[in-house]
Amino acid sequence: MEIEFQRVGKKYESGQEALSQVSFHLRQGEMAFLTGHSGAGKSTLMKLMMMIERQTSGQILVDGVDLRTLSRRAIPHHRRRVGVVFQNHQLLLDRSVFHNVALPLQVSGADPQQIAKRVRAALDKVGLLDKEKYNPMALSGGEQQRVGIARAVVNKPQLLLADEPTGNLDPKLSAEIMNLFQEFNRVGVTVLVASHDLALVARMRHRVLTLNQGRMVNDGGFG
Amino acid sequence: MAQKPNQRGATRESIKATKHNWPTRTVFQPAKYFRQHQATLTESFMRLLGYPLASVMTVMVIAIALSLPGGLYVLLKNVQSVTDQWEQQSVITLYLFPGLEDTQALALSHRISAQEDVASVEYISKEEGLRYFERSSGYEQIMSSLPENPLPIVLRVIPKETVDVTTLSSLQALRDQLDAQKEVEYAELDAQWLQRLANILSFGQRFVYALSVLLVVAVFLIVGNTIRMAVESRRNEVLVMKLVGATDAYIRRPFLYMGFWFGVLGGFFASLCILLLSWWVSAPAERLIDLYQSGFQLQTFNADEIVLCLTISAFVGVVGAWIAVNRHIANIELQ
Repeated sequence: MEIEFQRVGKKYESGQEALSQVSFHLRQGEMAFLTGHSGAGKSTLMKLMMMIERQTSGQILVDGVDLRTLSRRAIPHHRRRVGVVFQNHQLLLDRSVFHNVALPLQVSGADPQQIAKRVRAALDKVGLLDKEKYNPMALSGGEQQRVGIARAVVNKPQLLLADEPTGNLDPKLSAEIMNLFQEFNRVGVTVLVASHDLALVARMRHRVLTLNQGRMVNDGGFG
Repeated sequence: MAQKPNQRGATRESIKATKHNWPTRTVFQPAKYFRQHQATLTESFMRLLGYPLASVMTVMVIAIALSLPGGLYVLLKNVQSVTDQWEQQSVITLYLFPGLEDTQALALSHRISAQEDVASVEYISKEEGLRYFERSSGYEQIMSSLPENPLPIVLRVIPKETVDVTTLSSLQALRDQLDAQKEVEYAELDAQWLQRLANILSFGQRFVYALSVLLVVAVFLIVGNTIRMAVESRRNEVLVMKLVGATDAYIRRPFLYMGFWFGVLGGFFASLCILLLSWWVSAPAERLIDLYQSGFQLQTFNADEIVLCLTISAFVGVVGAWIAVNRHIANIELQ
């Protein structure tokens, strides 16, 4: 998936300006990091891509389509093409790992056999195939995050967004998670990872976008 | 640094392609659709079983709220069926002058029965009248103590129109016309009490309707509130489902089915309550009926009415859930 921001601004009703004049272009199959202090606008930028929020100025093009032209009804279908991973896992604790990962497929109405096959494939990729029957609460922080990743990739999204996916993890686990993202990127998925772990980002040697107080202050380099 | 010059060309290219190739709405696939609905139907029922006490309480509140108007409806139906019989029995009784000969009376009887607004005339001779009186307990001794039969010939005129509020005035006119016949000493239309009864009944009917409306609204509110709490308790789940691309319809569905189950189960138990209640009062009611030697049969909820009750309650459940869910799902936004 190809993402293009053109002088995108987001101003909240309170008057707070979360993003202003942000422009960048994420090519099909590219992997990039988004860094900046907390409050710099990383999460807002991700929310705009997910259409959780709408920009107040500029345009966002996804595969050449202006997101503003999408109706409310089209939003779920847009989200099905995007996988997201959050710092606070957002796993449902009333169901097993398997059913958590199956959620995006159930939501889009896949048939049960297909669901089982793809859920196991996704769990296999993140190395949790043997834990499918567990409750997420019984897993470690790193394992929970990997369940979140499995859920994000289970319906083969064209774009993978991760908001502080390594926030609570130790360096070794963080590196493992990042390697997972890299693997998905290698098979053609466009990946954007928001992280304030500059050392880790630098080690990954990918394009780095830096936000500061809602402005894009650096695009390129390795952080 | 924000934008590289060489990307601008690509941008213009991509703007031209305003048509995107991903689906913006779900394509209707019957098999998939029914599979999902069936799964949600069972899942939402299992979910109710997951909170048995809360579910039972909600269902019982709905059942009680529905059984009240339902019970009054059955009561009304019984009273109405009793009065229906009275309506059929409505007659104008003509007491002829005592000295009248049988032949004159018969001639009058034929004349009256030829009238267009009269269905039939029953001729009760003095002797028949006496026999009838003797059959009725308490009159026997009085009758035998009399030197001769004091009873007049009686004609029971059954008008074509039954007595109710609307036909009362024309029946009154018929009575007056019959009363004016020279053979008739007195004509009696027993209608005033029927008019009162009709008024009481229509009052009762309106009372039951108003109460039904109120209680159905109460069921709306009960279901709405229960669903609101269910949405609230599953807030996180709704959020995650929105995040992974669930349509509003998909998110709404389990709650609508929940409302459906509340409605159907509430309606079922309400029907059960009414049937039990009817059964409970049936013994004394039948004794009462026997006393009046009436052909009246105690009515209860029949199959049609049970189906209607279930349909209404299911409908109220779904609509109540719909309103609550739409309000609250919109409020749950990803932050």
